[in-house]
Amino acid sequence: MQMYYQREGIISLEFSENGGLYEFLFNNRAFGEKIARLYFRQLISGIEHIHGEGYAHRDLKPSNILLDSNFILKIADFGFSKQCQEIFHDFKGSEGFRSPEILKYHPYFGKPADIFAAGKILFTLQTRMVPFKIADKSRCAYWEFLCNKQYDEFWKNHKSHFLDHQFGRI
Amino acid sequence: MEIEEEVKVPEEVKENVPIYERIRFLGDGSFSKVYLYKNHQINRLEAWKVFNNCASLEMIANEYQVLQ
Repeated sequence: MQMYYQREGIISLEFSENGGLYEFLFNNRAFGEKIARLYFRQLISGIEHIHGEGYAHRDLKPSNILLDSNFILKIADFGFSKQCQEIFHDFKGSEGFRSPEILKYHPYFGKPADIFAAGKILFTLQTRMVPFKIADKSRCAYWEFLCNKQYDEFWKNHKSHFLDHQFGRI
Repeated sequence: MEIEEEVKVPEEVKENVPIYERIRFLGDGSFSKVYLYKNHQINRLEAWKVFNNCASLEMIANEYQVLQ
């Protein structure tokens, strides 16, 4: 990896031949449980490494995850990363993957925000959609079901999204 | 049979051969565009993240530091 700075900043990085996970998911089909579990393990392993190095990513989403020539998952785009001991006050992340505390403009820690995004990525791997776009009171799936611990209702509500992809999953 | 003498590329010609060749555009985000480049010196493909004016030097340096 190299960095250059002339008129504009340039970082040269390892090329991931199979592109972004977002494009891969949306050009193909949702993953079955076995493949989703495999990629989720790789994702958690990557997040564990980043957190172990003392950083929080703060912008985890499928388009910031790449697949190399062997279809091994790589976490990319560290533009919003900061040392994870800090308490953050800034509104970072991407729509659909921000944790509730960020949306409420509360001070927040980076590690839990990354884990929240990872959970939403796992759901996306199996359905090609996020379970709820915004984690606030306006979203029934989040507020009525998850915050009130109505997990059965949550899964009943989302069953069709999993069944839609039951046949012909990767 | 005569063995042909090895042709040596003059240094001034070598210096003019570009090391990097832009192959194609890969994607973009709010702060940067990513291009595929080929490093001819070591025959390797690289993804070049080219930051736009919205990205501060601090942001670029921060990303580089985290990646290191």
